[in-house]
Amino acid sequence: MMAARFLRRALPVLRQTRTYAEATSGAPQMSFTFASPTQVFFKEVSVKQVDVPTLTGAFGILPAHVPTLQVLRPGVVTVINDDGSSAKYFVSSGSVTVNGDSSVQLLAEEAVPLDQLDVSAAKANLEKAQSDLAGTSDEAARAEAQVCIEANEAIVKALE
Amino acid sequence: MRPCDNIKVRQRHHARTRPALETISKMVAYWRQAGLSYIRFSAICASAVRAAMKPQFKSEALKAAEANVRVFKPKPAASA
Repeated sequence: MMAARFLRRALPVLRQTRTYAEATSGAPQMSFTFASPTQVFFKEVSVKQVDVPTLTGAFGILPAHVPTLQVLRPGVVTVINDDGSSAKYFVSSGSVTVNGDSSVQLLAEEAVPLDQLDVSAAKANLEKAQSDLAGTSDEAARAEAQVCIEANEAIVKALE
Repeated sequence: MRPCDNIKVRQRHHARTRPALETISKMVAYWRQAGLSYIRFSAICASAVRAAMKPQFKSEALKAAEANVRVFKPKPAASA
């Protein structure tokens, strides 16, 4: 009788079988939307990977990425399509949203393909911003000059 | 004093003080520390990008960006 009661209590535990985690059946598709106020670059397109530069660091988004909200810093967004080809854009700032259903929305304040940027203009602006920074002592103006410096440095770095 | 008077005082106080997003353990961005909002950060970065564009694309970008902002100079007050 003790054995019967023991078995009855233990059966649910015994019935649990432990296995390795199941592989996800059918990779979730990533629906990618990328736009600036003036232009839509991608609209709910299925892509393989998107690399984004955020204030907390640059990371790549794959399908089934953990949902997150991030703000962008000046940097390069790389979109890798399903066929392996990649496209690069420079974004100034904005936000990226990764939803639970793997849809990604990248909304940039200013986004341009890399070949629309001029490296010599960026270097000249960088020098001007550096001299602006040296010229002022007001904290807010210094911060604005520093932001401009970092943005131009990012542009120069992207174009090298 | 009516409740709405308190709100006005609080709003005025907020406009002059630093936005209090700092705690001891969190790292604060230098621009946030200097009193800039992310909106302002974003605007500066966007204008830096526009300024670094090639001339043939730059004019359209500048025009599109200006379209959202209209600047009005206040008219001089009429004498009573």
